[in-house]
Amino acid sequence: MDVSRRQFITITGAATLSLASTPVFGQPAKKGRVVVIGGGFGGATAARYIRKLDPEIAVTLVEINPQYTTCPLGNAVMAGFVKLKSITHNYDVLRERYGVNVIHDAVIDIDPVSKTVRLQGGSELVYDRLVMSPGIGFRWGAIEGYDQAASELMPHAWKGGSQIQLLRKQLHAMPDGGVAVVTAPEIPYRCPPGPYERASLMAYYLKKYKPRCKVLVMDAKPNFPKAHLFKQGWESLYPGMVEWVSSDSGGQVIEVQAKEGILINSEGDAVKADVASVIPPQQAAKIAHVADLVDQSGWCPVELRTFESTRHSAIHVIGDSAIARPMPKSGYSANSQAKVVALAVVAYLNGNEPGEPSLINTCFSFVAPDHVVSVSAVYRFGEKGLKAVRGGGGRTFMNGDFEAEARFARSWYKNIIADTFGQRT
Amino acid sequence: MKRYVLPLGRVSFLVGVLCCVSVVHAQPVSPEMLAFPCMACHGPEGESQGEIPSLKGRSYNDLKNHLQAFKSMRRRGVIMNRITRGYSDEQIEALARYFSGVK
Ligand SMILES: Cc1cc2nc3c(=O)[nH]c(=O)nc-3n(C[C@H](O)[C@H](O)[C@H](O)COP(=O)(O)OP(=O)(O)OC[C@H]3O[C@@H](n4cnc5c(N)ncnc54)[C@H](O)[C@@H]3O)c2cc1C
Repeated sequence: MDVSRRQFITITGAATLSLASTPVFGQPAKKGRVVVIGGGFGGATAARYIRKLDPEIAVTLVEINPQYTTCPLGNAVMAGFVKLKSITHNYDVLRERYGVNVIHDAVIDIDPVSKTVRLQGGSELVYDRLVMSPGIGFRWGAIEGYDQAASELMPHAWKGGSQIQLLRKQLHAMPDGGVAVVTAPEIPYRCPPGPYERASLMAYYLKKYKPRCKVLVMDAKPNFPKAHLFKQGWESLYPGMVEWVSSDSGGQVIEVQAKEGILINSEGDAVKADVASVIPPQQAAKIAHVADLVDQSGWCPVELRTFESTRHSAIHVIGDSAIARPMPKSGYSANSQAKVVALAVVAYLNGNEPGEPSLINTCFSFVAPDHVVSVSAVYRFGEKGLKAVRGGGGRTFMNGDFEAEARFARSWYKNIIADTFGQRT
Repeated sequence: MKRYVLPLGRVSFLVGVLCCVSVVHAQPVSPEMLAFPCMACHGPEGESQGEIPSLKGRSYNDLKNHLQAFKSMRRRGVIMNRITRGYSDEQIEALARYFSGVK
């Protein structure tokens, strides 16, 4: 689909008018205007790449928070071997070096017909193409008793920010001999191996300081990603400390009583936890629901060649909010998808057709600071949609070099941050 | 009520099959589109910080030979044996050309 010349002029014409009332929008927009919602792995990467590929496209990035604390390495912060400061990043380089117009405000509504985005602060932005990477929302109440207030007692720590410190404090305050519980939801959710990394690094911390403690993973699934590699690590590094309870064996938590520290499974058994990290079922972030971009699953259907919404045109949804099976919801996936969209958006705004996509995902998980396991895949678009390339990708071998993977995981973190925010760490 | 419930029977690993189709015959992918996803690990324009090798500043032959060696398992890497098998020989050449041309 091409942006016809006439349509193009109308769009830019309308944009110019409305921008008169939006003085923050200072870039020359010879070829068009892109608004990006969300300054995480997806959004920040998209903004940077569009500006890098074509400086004649004006890019405005709307992000609520002035700083972004990553979820990747969050569990390492919890366990105390990485500092919170080193996983906190800002938008200075995007603004100064790449000329992205960064606005710290919340998007409260989107009109796909007039192509305008409304901000809480009152201003409106007009776009030719909108890129959304707003991340996840929680299905509060899907686990009975687990609402926002309960999450202050049983932290999910699944969105960056202050929750990971809360979890860290709770582990510090835990009595030796206590039980820490991590709950894991059903697929799809953000970072499929994340709950098991969390359990591993809880065990790492507890083995050092409170060796009589136990870590219990209560799972809504009958299996989990990289299970054999995690279990091998738990047996060799933390023998007898980590126990995983499958959904078949009563692992699914259906209710919590947060004040009492109680979790109740589908069989009605109650577990008393000294520390509980409840990772609840998820859905696309709220703004995706407000903007009518979700289907009945609560996630955003997209056309996977360009990640354009199947519900509203000229809106591309990437990252955790999007239905991008078979890609997992990861920062790496979001970053890769952002590049597909950057190339597609630049093609459209130059009157060209977008090319074929190619994507990668690699998820590194820490079992200990010097023991990392990974899974990766390369994705292309074929007759049956987006698929992992046969023969490519796969998991760490059972006799793999876990120490080398740990050094690579730390190097990956620095590099993906530089690639996303333009910032060296 | 039991303190916690642990009927941990024998654990059967679902050694997950990464479900795939062959996409060898798909449309050609542009060199930029092939190269950009590499930068999440190898850094912007292939300039890496830390232990993952930089791609920037290396010759076409050096890059091509390394990638082919990973793909054919002649050389053991940490991640790259798995990744390179996702690329055709022509795509590996396109990647080597892209990164050897980065200034
Ligand atoms: C413990 C843990 C460990 C993880 N480890 C890894 C890892 O090792 N590797 C990996 O690849 N991934 C990892 N992930 C997953 C990764 O964090 C997510 O997949 C990634 O953040 C998704 O990017 P995104 O752009 O979709 O969303 P986000 O990164 O969440 O960014 C969304 C942004 O949008 C903003 N926003 C939302 N709504 C609005 C609005 N209305 N207006 C303005 N701004 C808005 C938010 O403030 C947020 O900054 C991990 C996750 C967790 C929880």
